[in-house]
Amino acid sequence: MSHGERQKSLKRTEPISSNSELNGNETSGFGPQESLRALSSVFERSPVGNLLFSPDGLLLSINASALQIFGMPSESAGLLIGCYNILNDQKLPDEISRVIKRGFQSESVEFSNDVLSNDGMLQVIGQDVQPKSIWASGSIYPVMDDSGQSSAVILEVRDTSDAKREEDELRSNEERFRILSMATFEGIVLLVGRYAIDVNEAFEKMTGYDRSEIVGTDGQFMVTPESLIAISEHLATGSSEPYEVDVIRKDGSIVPVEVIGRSIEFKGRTIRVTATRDITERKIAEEALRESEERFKSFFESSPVGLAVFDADLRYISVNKTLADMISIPVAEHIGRTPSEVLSKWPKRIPRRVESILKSVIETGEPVVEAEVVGEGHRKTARNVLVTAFPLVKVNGEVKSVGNVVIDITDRKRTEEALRQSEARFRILADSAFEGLIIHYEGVFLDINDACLKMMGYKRSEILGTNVADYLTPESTTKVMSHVRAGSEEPYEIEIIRKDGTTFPAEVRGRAMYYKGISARVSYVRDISERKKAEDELRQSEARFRTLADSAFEGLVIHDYKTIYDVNSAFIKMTGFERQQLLGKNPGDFLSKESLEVILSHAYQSLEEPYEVTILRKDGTSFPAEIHSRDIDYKGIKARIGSIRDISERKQAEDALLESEERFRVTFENAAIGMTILNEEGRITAANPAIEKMLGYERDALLGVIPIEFTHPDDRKSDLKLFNDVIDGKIVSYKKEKRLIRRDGEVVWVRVTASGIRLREQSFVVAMTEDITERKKAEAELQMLAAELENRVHERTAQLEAANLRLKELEFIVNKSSSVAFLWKAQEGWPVEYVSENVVQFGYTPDDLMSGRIKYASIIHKDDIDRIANELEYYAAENKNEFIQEYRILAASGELRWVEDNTWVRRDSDGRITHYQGIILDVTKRKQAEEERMERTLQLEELNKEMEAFSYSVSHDLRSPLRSIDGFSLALIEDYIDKFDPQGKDYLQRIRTGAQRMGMLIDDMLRLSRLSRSEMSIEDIDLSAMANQIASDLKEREPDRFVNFVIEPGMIIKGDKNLMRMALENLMDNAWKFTSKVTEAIIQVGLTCHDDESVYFVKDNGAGFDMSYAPKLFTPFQRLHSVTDFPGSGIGLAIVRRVIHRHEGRIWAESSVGQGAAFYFTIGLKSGLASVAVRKKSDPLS
Amino acid sequence: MSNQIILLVEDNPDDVELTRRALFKSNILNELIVARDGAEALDWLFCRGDFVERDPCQAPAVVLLDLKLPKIDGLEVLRQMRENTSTRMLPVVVLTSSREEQDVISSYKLGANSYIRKPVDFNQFVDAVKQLGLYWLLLNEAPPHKRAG
Repeated sequence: MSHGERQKSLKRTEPISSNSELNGNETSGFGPQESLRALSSVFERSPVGNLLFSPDGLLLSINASALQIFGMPSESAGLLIGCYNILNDQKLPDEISRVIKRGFQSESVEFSNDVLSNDGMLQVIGQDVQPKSIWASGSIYPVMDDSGQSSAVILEVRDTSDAKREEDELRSNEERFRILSMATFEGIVLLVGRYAIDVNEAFEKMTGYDRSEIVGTDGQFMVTPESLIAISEHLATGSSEPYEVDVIRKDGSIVPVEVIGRSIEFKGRTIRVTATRDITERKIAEEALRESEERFKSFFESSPVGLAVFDADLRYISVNKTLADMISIPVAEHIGRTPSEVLSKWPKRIPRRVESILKSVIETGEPVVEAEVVGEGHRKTARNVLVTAFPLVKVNGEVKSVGNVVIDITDRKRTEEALRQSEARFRILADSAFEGLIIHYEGVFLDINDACLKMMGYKRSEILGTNVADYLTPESTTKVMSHVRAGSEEPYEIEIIRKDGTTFPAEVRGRAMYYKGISARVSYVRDISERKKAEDELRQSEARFRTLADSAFEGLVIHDYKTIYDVNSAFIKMTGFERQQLLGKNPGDFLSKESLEVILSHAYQSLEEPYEVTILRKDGTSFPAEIHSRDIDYKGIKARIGSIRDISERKQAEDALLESEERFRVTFENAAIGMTILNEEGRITAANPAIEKMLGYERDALLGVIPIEFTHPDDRKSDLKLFNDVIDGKIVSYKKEKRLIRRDGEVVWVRVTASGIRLREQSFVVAMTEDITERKKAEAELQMLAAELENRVHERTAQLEAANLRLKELEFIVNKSSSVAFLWKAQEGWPVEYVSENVVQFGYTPDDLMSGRIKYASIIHKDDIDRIANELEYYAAENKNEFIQEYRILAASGELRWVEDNTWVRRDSDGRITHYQGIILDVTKRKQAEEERMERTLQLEELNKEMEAFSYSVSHDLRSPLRSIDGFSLALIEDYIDKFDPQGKDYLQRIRTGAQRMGMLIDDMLRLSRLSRSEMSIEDIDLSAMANQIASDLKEREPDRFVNFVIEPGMIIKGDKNLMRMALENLMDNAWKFTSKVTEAIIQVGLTCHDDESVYFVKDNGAGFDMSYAPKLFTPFQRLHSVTDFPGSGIGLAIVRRVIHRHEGRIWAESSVGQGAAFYFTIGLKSGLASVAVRKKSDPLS
Repeated sequence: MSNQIILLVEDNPDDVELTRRALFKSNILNELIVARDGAEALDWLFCRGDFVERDPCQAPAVVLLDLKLPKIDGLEVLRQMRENTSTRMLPVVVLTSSREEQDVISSYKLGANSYIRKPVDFNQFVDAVKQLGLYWLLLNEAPPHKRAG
């Protein structure tokens, strides 16, 4: 319990204790006066409104609660008491008035929820107070005196307005709910726990059950088991989320229902109001939607055309595989990106065009149909596509998504192109023919060739599109129409009208044909004017030939085998004889012997079969002729008429044919390319050895076979169609490259050229098959090479670009740096090929040098050029390709600059040096500094030498006289001792002491000077071991002294061993010396740390010194103690300081007189911290 | 012992006197020949100049050589001695005031047999000379004497 809580609880107990005090008072002395006060206090404070009336209805008392209930101000009590008479209150509602009256008739009456009003009271007090009706409960009862008479009447009132209002509300709510639930279309069930307590009509309708059948059950029979689980879950959690259940109707059918439940408090119970909605329709719609979506999806996915959907920002929402394949970019890489992003590797105009189409759809809301986009993919594959775009989803007239259909028409385009070419070929062919050729559809000219135009005297443009009938006589028109209608392919004659109005006869032969996709009619037209003329003439010739008009072109001979009676001019022409030479002669004279026999044999048998004879000409030559003979009655004589046809040409043609056939056969047999002839069924009827060899099959195995069997499965597809087109005459020939499979299974690439031919009323196809395997291989290789090359070009380009970029960066860096980049040729004078712009620091422009005006050699100082050249030669000989040279160059101002030249040598493939590449840095300042330093060093060396000479002479020359002084003083003492009194002897001794002391001083001085000059050899020094050694030396020197040495083990430093020993010796020697007068001497050698720095120290508990003299401590020959107290030259600490300084350290001392002294020093050479580490490592116990 | 010669090369007469006294006090009474400079020392050793007449067979038992000498310094004297066959094997003790490291090293390099620094305290000097005489004249076996001719 916290402090605060305790406080509170104490406070809470206070009123209780005061109450108990009150109670105490009550019990101790409670008179009638107090009793009345207490009663009135209870009356006053009661939460129940209390009103006390006299038996005649006058208000005697009213408490605060009653005032409040009646809505009267508290101060109005005084006004009301004695004035307000409830029995006279006309404003009270009748009901309560009745109750009150009963109360005044000595009856105790209770009332509940009756209406009271304060109007009567308001009249009494006459104040401006809000009138109020009060719902109230309470009681009214008389107070009886001892005689049983009512002395007063008490009215107790409780305001029940709130309770009443709630009750009303509840009632009206219940009513509303009832009405609502009846009116709604939703089925409503009220549940208490699991059990239904009520349902509405809609629910009855939905389920088919009657209300009475449902109420009181848990409804389990009305739902499927799965739904039951769902319902249980929702009931358990009290969830108000909608969910779906399957309801089993009374008739057994199942209805999907959406359910939403809510728990409410109702009449003190928790009731779950469950609204249900039949969602059958929705389910059906959803299913349809799903199916439709499925259908759309499957259509979308499997469509042979490219499909895509874009959002309003032109980003792909979806795209099908066809479209993705078309542009070789995976579906996933489209989604969420714009065409420009997806086709980033394509020429920009293609995605832009697509985007502009999409934009137009979005902006106008109108579809764009079949816009043609010609694209060139990044692999240079031209693709022609038709793009159709249309608004897919519109919201408020704004297009939110766009559907996009892309049809790849590349192949169609190609075909169209091929067709156009083929048409052109056809036109040339048709135009070069002598025969007229027209193509018409239902009598309208579609096309006409030059020959026909010439015949008719028209231009093509005048004819095309006009009607055939316009150029024909009416009879001819009829004839043409009948032929066309019948589809006849027989030749017939018509009359054609020329442009100039004249007509000419023509023979026409038409046939149906596909032309540009329609079934047109092609007609061949031959001008037969000449023939007609001849025919007419013939008709007009001699009468006796009139019957023979048919044979007018043939030679005619009338004879009776003995005599020739008549011949016609044709025969005369044939034979070359004059008519007179022939008439009356024997026919035999003009025939070869064999022919005569043939003729005679025919004559006797009266054969009318044609036969061949050889007829002699006048010039002795002969010609083969075919003779038709029959009997004829000639001027009363029974004769024969022979019609003779010169068949030399036919013979020749036949011979030629034979020859040609032979030639063909030989060609066929010996052709290097495979040849086969296929019949209409496509079976091989002939095959040559080349194809046998190509396929590896014997000829017999090939004959009767359909070649598709030898074709590679992947190439079979179009074979049959092409073949049929040739057979049907739709195309004359085709060429195709495909793969054949040899008998041994090997694949052969071939080019087949197939042409249709018509032989003896039959269609054949001659197929020439070339083995192009090698070519194909070569092509494939070529393609690979090309691809590789392209790749390499790409790579190389990228590399070059990157290199260029790097180069630019480098150039920038170079120009920013103070180093000048040079490239000069290894030629006379070193002409400069390149120099970076920062060469201006030497006063030259890059152009000065690169133009060749100034060669590099010419700006090198004359004194340096030979040296540089020699060095270059040396490096070249050594095969060194990278080196540094230093020399001076002349700036444009004439100033000399020292430069450091980092040179790289460039060589050609033969190893010859072609260029030098140099980075040149101005080192003038450095050079100057170096020179200055060199000078200083020289000076120092000189000084050192002088110093050495000085100390040498000091050591030699200063000591000699001292030796003399000492030596001869001693000689005096020894040899002439009797000549001196004691004082004289003392003086001599003092002379000796002085000389010796001076000798020592000289020695110390020399040591000190040597210290500064000697070379240091740095190594690891075990300072601890050294200190121990010195300690033991000292102990040995004065074995009778007791000194306690405390030496820290494992102190390792870097330094010169001799110098360090000298320093440590001096320090320890001092300590030893200055502790000579201490009984328990302690000398410490150790190590501490100050600011991460190792500090070594030598500490003693000896005489110490006054710190005010500390600054003088390390000065040479400075003594702080008298020689008699502590002997010494005063050079020791000077030596120590010099040693420490030479080790780049510091030394200082701390002391006070009689308290001992401590000398601290550091070693600046790389050591300090390492020594600590080493120490710790070497001593695991520390 | 007494018939052996000691050659002292010393320019300082005080030092000559003190050396003589020190020898005397150490009871080394051998004949002491003094050369006042390097040139004289070499002339004496090689029996030339003023000492042409000298018996070349009379070789010193030890040469006490100062380094700082007029005309030719001690190191040069030592070098020439070691180059000459007749003096090559003579014991040479460098007796000098200098304790320069350089002098010590050069002396030994040139073939000095001993190096003694003259102390200022005469008692120490006497002690040193005594030790020296004892060693070189008494303990040390001199190289076999070579007689010219």
